Parts: sequence; structure tokens; C-alpha cells
Amino acid sequence: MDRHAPTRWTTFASPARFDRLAAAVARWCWAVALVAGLAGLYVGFFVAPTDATQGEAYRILFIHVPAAWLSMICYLAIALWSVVGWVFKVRMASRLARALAPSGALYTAMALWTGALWGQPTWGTWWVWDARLTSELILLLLYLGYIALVESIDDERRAAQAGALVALVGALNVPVIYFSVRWWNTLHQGASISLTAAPSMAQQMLLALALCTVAFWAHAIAASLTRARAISLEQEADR
Amino acid sequence: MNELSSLLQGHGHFVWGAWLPCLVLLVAEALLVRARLRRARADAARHLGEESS
Repeated sequence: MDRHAPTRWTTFASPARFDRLAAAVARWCWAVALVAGLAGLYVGFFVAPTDATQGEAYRILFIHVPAAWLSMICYLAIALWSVVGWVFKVRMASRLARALAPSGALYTAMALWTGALWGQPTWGTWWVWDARLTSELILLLLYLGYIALVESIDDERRAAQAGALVALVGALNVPVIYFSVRWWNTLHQGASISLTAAPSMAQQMLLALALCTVAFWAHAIAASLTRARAISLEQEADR
Repeated sequence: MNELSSLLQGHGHFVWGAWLPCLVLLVAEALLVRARLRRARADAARHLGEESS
């Protein structure tokens, strides 16, 4: 093999090569998740000041916001990998999509749970059927439907195709979740962080949120890659 | 520690009710996927051994 030849992205479609790369990336991501998570806990509880209007309840947002972001990003990643797997007939892409689903479902459930616990002291209610909350609940049902469908079909290729359909149709719900606070008059407030505007929160709060977000990203990548390696080994053994 | 004890007053139970289950779930997921990988590796090794014998 020519060592100077450019690496093509399909190189890592080979399960053996994917396994080696995923093992190395996952190891680093587990470490980052642990360090950033512990730092986020410290800054979030010991450094960030009490909020003037929300009191201590705002500390729930350090876990709620990253979980909500990851719930949407994981679903979009599932849709993307499903399309790659379907169109280019890449097994590892479909396996990655499958591996992302349990983590995405977990983050969605966490976003709903922490949102309810934040809503009660702040809004005075655990739940309202507004656009943001309802579309996030639909996302959880989509995740559960995707997982149930893919796990119920023994043939890997047919399972990947059926899952891709659900992932693609369900992906339409993600922009609805994101823009719901702009499109409709909802109880849920708009985005707290914007790329185009200065942050409206204290630096320590922003730092805690950033650390927790890094921890969630690293956890999602590490868990998905580790699960994809396991799925790959299981499927290759069955072939 | 003053920060922690003050969290137990007011809205502290909401904060802990949100954080603790999430931390437990995140750690549990990490342990479960790693256990699944170890199991898959052991099965694959056994499978290879059976094929080669």
C-alpha cells in the first residue's frame, strides 16, 4: 500500500480499521467526559453564583441544555449515517446510526426529566403541552420506535433500510423542536446562547455550561463508538 | 460545603432530583456499553476458536 496516498473516507468503512480508530477515539473521549464532567460539577455547584431570579433551580440547566442539544444532534447524526449506509451500502455507517440511538434516547429522556424538574419551581408546572415540550416528547417516541424497529429485524440490511426510513422521516421533527420557540408562542423561553449575540449569563455560569456540554459531547461520542464496535463484532460473528 | 448545604434548602431537591439520576444514568450507560463490548469480544474470540478447530 502506498503510504503517501491520500486517505479516503471509505478506508474506515472496513470494520477492522473502524474498530482500531474507534478504540483510540473512544478512549480519549471517555477521559475527556470524566474530566470535563467533574470540572462542570465543581464549577456548576461551587463557583457559579446563585441566580437572581431563578435561585438554585437554574443549576438544572447545566445538565438540561446539553442533554437537549445532544438529543437533537444524535437524531440528525442517525439520519445522516442512515443515508450514507443506505446510498453507499456502507455497513459501518448503518451500525453507527444504530449505535447512536440508545444514547440519543437517553439524552432525550434526561432533557424531559430535567426540564420537568426545572419547570415546577420556575413555571409552577411540571409539564405543558406547548410546542417545544411536545416535539421533544415526539423525539423520544421516535427514538424508541427506531430502536424497536431495528432490533426486531434479524437481517442487518433490511433492519438498516427500515431504520433509515424512520430516521429520515423523524428528522423533520428536529427543526420543529429547534424553531418551535420562534414559530409559536410557547411557555419555553428562546435560546440562552447565540453565536451572533453576547451571552446574557455570568461568566461562571457560561463556563459550567460549556464544561457540561463538552462532557456530554465526549460521552455521546465515546458511548456510540464503543457500542458500534460491539454491534460490529456481534454482526460479523453472525455472518 | 456552604453552597451544597444551601442547595438542600429552597429548590435543592429539584436540583438533586435532576442531577443525581442523570449522573447515575450516564455512568451506567458507560459501564453497560463497555461490558457489551467485552462480551462481544469474548464471543467473537470463541467463534474464531471454534472455526479454526
